[in-house]
Amino acid sequence: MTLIIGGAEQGKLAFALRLTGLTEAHVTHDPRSPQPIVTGLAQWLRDTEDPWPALNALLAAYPDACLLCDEVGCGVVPMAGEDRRWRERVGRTCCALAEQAERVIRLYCGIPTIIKGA
Amino acid sequence: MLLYIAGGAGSGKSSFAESQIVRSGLPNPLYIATMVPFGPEAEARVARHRALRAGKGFTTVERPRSLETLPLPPNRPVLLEDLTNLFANEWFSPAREGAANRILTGLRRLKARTPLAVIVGNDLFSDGMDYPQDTLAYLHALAALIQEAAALSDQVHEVVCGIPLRHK
Repeated sequence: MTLIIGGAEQGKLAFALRLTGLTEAHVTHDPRSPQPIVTGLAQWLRDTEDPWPALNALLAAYPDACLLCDEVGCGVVPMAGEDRRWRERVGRTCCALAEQAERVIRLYCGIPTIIKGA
Repeated sequence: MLLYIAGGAGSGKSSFAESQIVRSGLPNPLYIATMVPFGPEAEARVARHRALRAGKGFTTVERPRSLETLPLPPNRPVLLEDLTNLFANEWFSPAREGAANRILTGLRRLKARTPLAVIVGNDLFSDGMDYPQDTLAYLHALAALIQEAAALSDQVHEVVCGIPLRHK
């Protein structure tokens, strides 16, 4: 599995499509409808308290999946508790995914940097 | 030796910072806790960090302010968590004047008087800047403080998804 992270609008999806040679038809926004590319993990985690049943099922179906997630933890601590818990959930989920991932790639201005694996 | 470890919320920066202390093999580490835990959420955060540190031999000292006058027992490594919070405690208090300088004095003292000091900080600067004026003033002063702290540090790491990226 490859985890691709970065700020919003940094070219993660375009990069994942280039990397895999797949098309938009192979992209899902919801891990419960598995596809080899999952984009918008951070947004999906808004309403998903426990992402692991869906993520584990997806990774079982597509062990080489590319998972794309916005980095959302680098702002001022949000006023709303719900937002704080969401940020924390996104961060922890990404830490756990990064640990399992063969590769972690960070996109910055469309430029990929491999921060784990090769 | 002074290390500055930064990262966003839930990035794994605390865990990496602790591992630097543990890996050093230096005995009797001191944990300087800066957060004043108000309410169940803060208490849960403190409990989580306590569980992370359990069994690693840390002695905890609560120090929400006045790092510069903290008594430092000799030859003990120090983990300070965290700089952002310490600065907020000083800044949003009647003692705002000179807050950054007091903290820098504290950091210089840690660097001079301990075998290893690991400072944890929060990255707060990549989420748009649409905040009240007072928050913007705090961010502005915090960013300057962090740059001074980084200049003082022997190593600077950013932790992303639990992965340390070394900037210095």
